[in-house]
Parts: sequence; structure tokens; C-alpha cells
Amino acid sequence: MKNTQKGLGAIAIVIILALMAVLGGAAVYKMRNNSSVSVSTPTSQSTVPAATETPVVATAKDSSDAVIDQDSAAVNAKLSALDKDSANIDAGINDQQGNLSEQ
Amino acid sequence: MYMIKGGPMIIKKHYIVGSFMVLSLFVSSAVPVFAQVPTSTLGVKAAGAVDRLKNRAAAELTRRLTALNNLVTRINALKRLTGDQKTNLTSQVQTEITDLTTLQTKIAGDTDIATLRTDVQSIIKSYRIFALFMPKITIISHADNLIDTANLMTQISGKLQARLDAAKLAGKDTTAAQALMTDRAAKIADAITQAQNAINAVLPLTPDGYPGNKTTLQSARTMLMTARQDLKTAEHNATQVRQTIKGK
Repeated sequence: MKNTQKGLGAIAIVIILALMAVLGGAAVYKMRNNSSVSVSTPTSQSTVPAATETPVVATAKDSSDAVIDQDSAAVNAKLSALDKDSANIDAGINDQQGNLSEQ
Repeated sequence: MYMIKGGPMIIKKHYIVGSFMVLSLFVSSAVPVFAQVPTSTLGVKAAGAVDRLKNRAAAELTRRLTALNNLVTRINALKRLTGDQKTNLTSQVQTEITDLTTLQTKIAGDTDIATLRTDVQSIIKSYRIFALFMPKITIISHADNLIDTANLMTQISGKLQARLDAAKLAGKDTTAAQALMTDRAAKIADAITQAQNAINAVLPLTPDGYPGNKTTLQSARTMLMTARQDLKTAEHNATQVRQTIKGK
């Protein structure tokens, strides 16, 4: 009788320990999941910065007068185009709505 | 002169029939005019006002649609925005293009002055979207091109420096030219910073903040002016350095 009771008690302890292990494991798993969500959320909500500029490294490849003259002409053409394009910025800022009156 | 029997009576009948014919001709020719602009209280004056308003609305919508389509081309050519930022900008502009195109079709089919007035009000109310997108995207695109130019100039600086180093080894006094190169590098760096700051300033602007955010647009415009001047000075420096290299 006493042996049977002892046996039942041991089984009960094993079952309780097993339940505690399962519940504890589930709790740890849930906590880990929550923490990973809370880390990722701010990243997804943060504003995406403009693409960063990769620094251009000055190289000395083919530094003959002819090549430098050609490069310089290209720069001047680009600067001239930028000057012309600046008028588009002014036009955009100073734009006025067209006449939509009935008269 | 001779009298026809019952003459006055026949003349009277002809007169009445003729009158009906003239009247029916008038009515049949008048109906299509009213069908064109069937407004309730329509007179010639009102029809003129409707046509005028329609023409003005069409001109304004065409102007905006042309400009917005050009903006889409500019956005697609941008190099310094992320794919998401470009998609977001394009989507905003495309939505406006769709809305204005729908309005254009609706106004073309409007037949009463009250509906037409309401539709024209929609054009007026949506102006803030156009008024912001135009300078905002032009500024971003301009800054993008400016950084391209600055990068090209940096590459040329490397070639100029190599030539200058060679000239120095050959015994030439390059002190002044070297100072110009240092200044050139600083000017190019500042131009890139100004252009990037201009992009960062205007990128978050939304139509809801217009015209309050116009000052930010003007500030970005000033940054780009400074950047262009920086690049011009840097290029002028390069011209002087080249003269030293060539021994002039």
C-alpha cells in the first residue's frame, strides 16, 4: 500500500515537472518572439534616408592634355545645363494658377 | 388687274401656311444650338461663359498634365534616391495625373454650368499638389545632376594632381597651383553637401503643408545656387592649374 502510494506520488511529480517544463518553454519562446517583434517594428517605421553618396575617388588614369581638355569640356557643358535648369526651379516656385474665371 | 374668286381667302391661307413653315424652320435650326449647351437658364451670354470656362479649364489641365508627365521622366532619371523613394514619388505624381485626366474628361462632357463650376473648383483646390510637386521634384533632380557633375570634377582632380606632381618633380614651382587644388577640393565637397542638404530638405514636404513650406523650397533653391557657384569656382581653379601645368 505504501509502495503503491509512493509510486503514484512519483508519477504525479514527474507529470507536474513535465507540465512545468512545457509551460516554461512556451513562456520563454513567447517572450523571445515578442522581443524580436519589438526590435523590428521601429526599423520598419523609421523614415528611409536618401540614398547615401558613394565617395568618388580621384584617379590619375590617362592624364594627358587631350583627355583633361575633353573632361573639362564635359564639365562646362554640365554646368551650362545646370544654369539653364535653374530657371525651371524658379518657374516651379513662382508658378501661378491659370485663369479659371468665367469672365 | 383681275380678281380670283375667293382671292383674299387663298392669300390668307398661304400666309398662315408660310408662317408655320418659317416658324418650323426656325425651331428646327434652333434646337441643335440648345443641345450643345442645354443649361436651364441659357442665353447666348451664358453659353459663351460656359465655353470660355471650359476652354480655360482645358488649357490649365493640359498645362499641368504636361508638366507632371515631365516630372515622372525626371524622377526615373534620379540616381540618389532609393528605389522605394522613387516609387513613392512616382506614385504620388501618377495619382495626380490620373485625377486630372479624369477631371479633364468630365469637364469636356459637362453640359450644365453648375456642374462645370464645381469641377473647375476641383482644379483650383488641387493646385497645391501641383504647386508643390513642380519645384520639389525639380530641386531634387537638379541636385542629383549637380552631384553627378561634382563627381566628374573629382575624377578630373585626380588627373590634374598627377600632372601637378609630375611638374613639381620636374622642378616647377607648384605652390600656388597646389593651393588652388586644395580650394577646388573644398568647393566640390561643399557643392555636394549643399546639394544633398537640398534633397533632404524638400523630400519630406507634402501638399498639405503648402504654401507654408514654400520657404523650405526657397531655402533649397539658395543651397543649389551656392552649390553651382562652388562648382564654377572649382572649375575656374582647374583652368588656372592647367595653365601652370602647361607652363603658360
